[in-house]
Amino acid sequence: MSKWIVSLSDGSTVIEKWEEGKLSPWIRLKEMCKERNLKITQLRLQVNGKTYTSVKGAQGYFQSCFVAQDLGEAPLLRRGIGYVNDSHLHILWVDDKTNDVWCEVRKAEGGAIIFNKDNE
Amino acid sequence: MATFTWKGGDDVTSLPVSLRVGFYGAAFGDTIAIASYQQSNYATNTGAENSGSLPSVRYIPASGSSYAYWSGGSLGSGSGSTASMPSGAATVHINFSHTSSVNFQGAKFFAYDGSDPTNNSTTVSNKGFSAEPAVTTWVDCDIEEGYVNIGSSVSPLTEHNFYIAVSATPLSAGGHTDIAYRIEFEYY
Repeated sequence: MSKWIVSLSDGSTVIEKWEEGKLSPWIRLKEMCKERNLKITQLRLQVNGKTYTSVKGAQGYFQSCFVAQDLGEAPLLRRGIGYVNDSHLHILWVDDKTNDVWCEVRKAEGGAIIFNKDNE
Repeated sequence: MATFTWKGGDDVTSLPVSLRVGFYGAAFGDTIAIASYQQSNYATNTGAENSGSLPSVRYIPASGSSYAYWSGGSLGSGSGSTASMPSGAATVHINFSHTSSVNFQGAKFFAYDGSDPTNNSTTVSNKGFSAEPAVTTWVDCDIEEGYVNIGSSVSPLTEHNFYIAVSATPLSAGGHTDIAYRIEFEYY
């Protein structure tokens, strides 16, 4: 079991909840932040009972599921959270099965980032 | 809940987890000459049993990276620019479905040795392109050389479909199984 938990600038907390037939919870969060001019102040990820915490007050936050599928094999799933610092995205990935953790740094771009400046 | 389904590009032959894509000469069981590319594809497990034909898309080196010859599927044979090839003529159709609408980004399709997704097969070399989403130039898709860069979705959907053409050539004689095909991406 895994889920992300977001703290928002109005003091509220949003917990990942998938709902059948609706937009993904991260896309819904992105829309809500824009509509209500809210910023993400912190992002956490819980995977198999362990909590991973991102830095507070970043310029933006990232969340994604990484999936890899080989024909003939079960898919691999990793969960990732990250934060934006200047033009870089710092991601913490967690393997859903092994709980292995590693970091990735890459250019801060792509729709999976919620930039706080977009919600000012 | 996310699920993957692999089929032939024309959706006629399923590729459940017990099966793989086999590359052959003119017919099932026929060999491919070294430095030549396959002429037919079949669903198989070990390579010895025929579990149904798949569309075959052939890379022809002399014709360049934007030309393909396709055959074997329910759409029949044809040739021309890779951009003109119908999606249903692709080797495989990979369906990714989710109970919620999601976007994907950074999607890649590549071949590797089946053990370590950073290593090429030592016995088979591959070319690939994506008929849909359209990225229609043949590229080396052995992971040490590159991959088919499918990119990102346009909008969130509960189903995303990938129609991928793969053409393979043996690097040595004999039957080869140290080869696997992978699609990977991030979704949110």
